[in-house]
Amino acid sequence: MQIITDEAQRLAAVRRYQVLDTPPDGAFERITALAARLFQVPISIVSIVDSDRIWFKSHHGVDVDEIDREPGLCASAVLQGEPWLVNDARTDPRTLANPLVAGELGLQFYAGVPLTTHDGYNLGTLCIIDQQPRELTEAEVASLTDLARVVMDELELRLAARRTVELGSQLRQSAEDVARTLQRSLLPARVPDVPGLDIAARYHVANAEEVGGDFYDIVVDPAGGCAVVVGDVCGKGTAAASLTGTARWVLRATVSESWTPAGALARLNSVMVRAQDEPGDYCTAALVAVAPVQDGRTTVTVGLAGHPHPLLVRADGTVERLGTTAPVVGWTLEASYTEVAAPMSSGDLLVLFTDGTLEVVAGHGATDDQEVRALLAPLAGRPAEDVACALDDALDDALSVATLRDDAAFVVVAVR
Amino acid sequence: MSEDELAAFGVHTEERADHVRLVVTGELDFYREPELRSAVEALLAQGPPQRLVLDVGGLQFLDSAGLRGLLVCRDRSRSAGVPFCLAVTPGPVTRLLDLAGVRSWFTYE
Repeated sequence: MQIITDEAQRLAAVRRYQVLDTPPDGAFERITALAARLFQVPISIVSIVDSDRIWFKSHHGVDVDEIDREPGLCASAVLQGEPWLVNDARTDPRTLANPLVAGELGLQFYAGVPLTTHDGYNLGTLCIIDQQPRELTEAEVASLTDLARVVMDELELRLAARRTVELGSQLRQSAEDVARTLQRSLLPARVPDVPGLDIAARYHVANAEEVGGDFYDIVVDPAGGCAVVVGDVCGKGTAAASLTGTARWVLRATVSESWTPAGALARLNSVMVRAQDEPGDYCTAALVAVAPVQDGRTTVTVGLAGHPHPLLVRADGTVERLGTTAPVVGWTLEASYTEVAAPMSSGDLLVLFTDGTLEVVAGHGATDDQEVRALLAPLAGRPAEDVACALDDALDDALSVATLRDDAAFVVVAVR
Repeated sequence: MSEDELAAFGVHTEERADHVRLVVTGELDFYREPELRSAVEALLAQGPPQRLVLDVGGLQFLDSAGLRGLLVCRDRSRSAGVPFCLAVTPGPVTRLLDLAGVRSWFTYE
């Protein structure tokens, strides 16, 4: 392999492997111990050549963590692409004046094999050292070279593992970004002002990485009233998100033509059934048309499709379930939808929610709204935002003991 | 969702004199629904039974994707010409069938 000797680039490669000053670790200790035993030398080192020092990832037989780059022999060894062998340092012109040779250590034999990255940079060496002259056979040099490759494999493996972890976290982050953006596009940017009504809405996401299947929308009637929908698309992720977008816009377009919930649900049903080659996706929804408010009075018309009943909390604290159960939307053209009307007056609350909300309040898998009704009854006559906050609190309480399994969406409408 | 967060779910087949019974237990949700589908598809592929009963009485939880799974099994079975019915006991499954307004879409054992 072509060895790249540009020192700045070589140092960049050293940094990339993030091995400098890492704690001792078994794999490299085993390799230096093995090298010492195999070649019957007192000292074996895995060294990394830094800008101003030679740092030892593993040092067998010598109790030093690093030495200066001068007079280190490894610094010379990394400048070439093949093993650097000094059989008798006292007579070798490259080393005879070196303090490691002339001084206390009394180094007389050095054999270092560069640790070469896959892209041609020498990070350091695997070297063996003796205090007497020696000569390695060709086979021994080959073995030392193989061991150096094992060291390099370990370093590559660690780098790859670290990259994988980093990549995983980047992917998670970008999935969350996409999910958040998509989710925002599926919900109204803000709750609109509707004369005579006070409206609050919430969307709690179960998993930040995934687009949820719940949606809500508030469609303003220029004549004064509005339509409110809360729905739940079967499934999660981008497939569900695309269906959610369709459901939201079909309902929006249809309901603003006629303000009849049953008609809008029937239309959505036929659009969804026809859009699929075979049944596979469906959604549930509660759709409520609120007539223009006059003197604190209005009429709500409720259509249901496989969805929990919206609840009407009277100013006196009684709670009524609105709507007649009808099948989920999107599976068969045979499904039909009906609507039921109820009067509302000042102080009354209308609460639409998804089954995720139901589960948060009443427990995993709950389908009975009894506990939601019990939670809402004492909130009679309160502003919509107060009621939404009370539901948020219930959600927080539930989350302190369990994770949110499903998204939870709800809309609260109070008649002023 | 990681493997250890997955709810318990099981599906096994029982050969009966006049039908094959697919018994599911645990929690049938978005993450487990594909297992139910493949069980039914495998069953239909290896020689259609006289009748298929999907026994969901032992399910502790069913979400909207789980319900979709039941509907898909019903449709697959029918298009393979195999009479299909559900075996239920009052509980999470019947409550969701009622909530979703689809109780009448199934026949029952």
